[in-house]
Amino acid sequence: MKKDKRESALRIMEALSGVDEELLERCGQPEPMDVCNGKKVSGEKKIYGFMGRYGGLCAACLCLAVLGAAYFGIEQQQKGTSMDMAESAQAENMTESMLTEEETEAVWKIPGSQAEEGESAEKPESAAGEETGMTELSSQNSSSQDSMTDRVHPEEEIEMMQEEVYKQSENVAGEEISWEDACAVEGLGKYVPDRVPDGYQLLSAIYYDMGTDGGSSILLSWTDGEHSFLIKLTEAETSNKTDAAEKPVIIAGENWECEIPKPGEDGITRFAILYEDGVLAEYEGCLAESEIKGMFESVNP
Amino acid sequence: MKDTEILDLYWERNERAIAESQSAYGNYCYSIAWHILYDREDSDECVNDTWLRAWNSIPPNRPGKLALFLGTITRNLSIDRWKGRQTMKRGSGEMALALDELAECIPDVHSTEDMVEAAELERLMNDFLHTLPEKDCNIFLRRYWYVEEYGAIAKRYSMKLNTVKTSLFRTRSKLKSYLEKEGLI
Repeated sequence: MKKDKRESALRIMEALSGVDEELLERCGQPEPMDVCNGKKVSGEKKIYGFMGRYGGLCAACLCLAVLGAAYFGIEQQQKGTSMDMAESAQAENMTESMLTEEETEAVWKIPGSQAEEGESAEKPESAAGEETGMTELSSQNSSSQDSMTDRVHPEEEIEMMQEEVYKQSENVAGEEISWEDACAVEGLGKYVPDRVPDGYQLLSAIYYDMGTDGGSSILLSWTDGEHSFLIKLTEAETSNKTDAAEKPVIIAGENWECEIPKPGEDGITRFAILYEDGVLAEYEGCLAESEIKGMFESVNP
Repeated sequence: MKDTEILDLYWERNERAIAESQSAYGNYCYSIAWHILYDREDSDECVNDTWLRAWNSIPPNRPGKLALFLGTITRNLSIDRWKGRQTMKRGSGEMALALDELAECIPDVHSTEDMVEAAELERLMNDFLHTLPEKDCNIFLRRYWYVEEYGAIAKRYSMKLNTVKTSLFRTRSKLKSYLEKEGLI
């Protein structure tokens, strides 16, 4: 049967050979090909052949140089700091020892005072070393804190998406509905999952009605107390809405599950499924791939 | 050399016509063949056959747009070659993917062979394409006439990949509805 369909598709493909010249002309010509090896040739590559070939290497060298310079700069700065501290500590000790010497010289000479001086001079260095280590640690901590703050928690994502939907709906306030009500919404309800992974409970389901032109949308979110995920269903009749999704779009059909993208650096998986009737289901959350598959299978993508 | 001059050479039965065609449209035709066949040797052969086919059909033909005339010949030859190759093994490349996508427009119970003659199907496809917005039509033709990859289409029209995907998805759905409406399905 599939073979028959393929043959029919081939007939459509052949029928396209008779398409009006004006339509073909309007859509432009194909990219020129390198006849020798079947690769695409762009003017830029020809003109900037050297950059095309060695650009990557040059960029890598430049990056290394910049990194080296930055490292050298930081090291110098740290050395400078520790030297300053050592010097100031040494100076303090010097004054102390000088005072002592001055005081004691008047009475008697203390042998080995230089050795004490040396010890006292060494101490600040080690202290400075500890200090440097602390600086590194604190910088590491701050960088890890930065990366933590860069991450957006799914619950924040939910709030952000709610705001986004609110804006898209031209500030039409959403209506809090139940899971059952969401399942019963005309057009969108059949794409509301009727099962979610164990331990997750519905956090909120908000229905937005953007009028006759804008269609409607439902924003659903679930949480297990620690992790959350959300699904936004939209009647994506206009391409603007799918553009706004900014996620990889999977066309519903056979083997849709193979196209589920890997989680991003923040551990959150983001994608959208476009159904045949134009409904767009956007997903964001940290569920495992198998859990995502199981959940979306319940709505027969 | 201008198209009219190349056509004059064909009409004069001057063999320079082939060399001039190769020089002016060799890359263009090769690109069409390559996207369908994904094979250097086969693509070369299709392009060479194109000049022979053109030589045999001009005269009596005097095409208005030589590029499209030659491109269509190359496309037909490439599709024929692709079909021949399929009898031996399943091919790779964009052609197989493009066909699978178009197959979505065909229901399980029918085959277009029973439904309609090739000429009628051509007319219907033309009519259908004229109903589409210009952007969607262009994307559809880039994909199913030139068999270009999504990425290449997105780049050409400075669009997002998702937009190209969804545009094609919707156009295929429209085509299915159109074929149903026309009583072909």
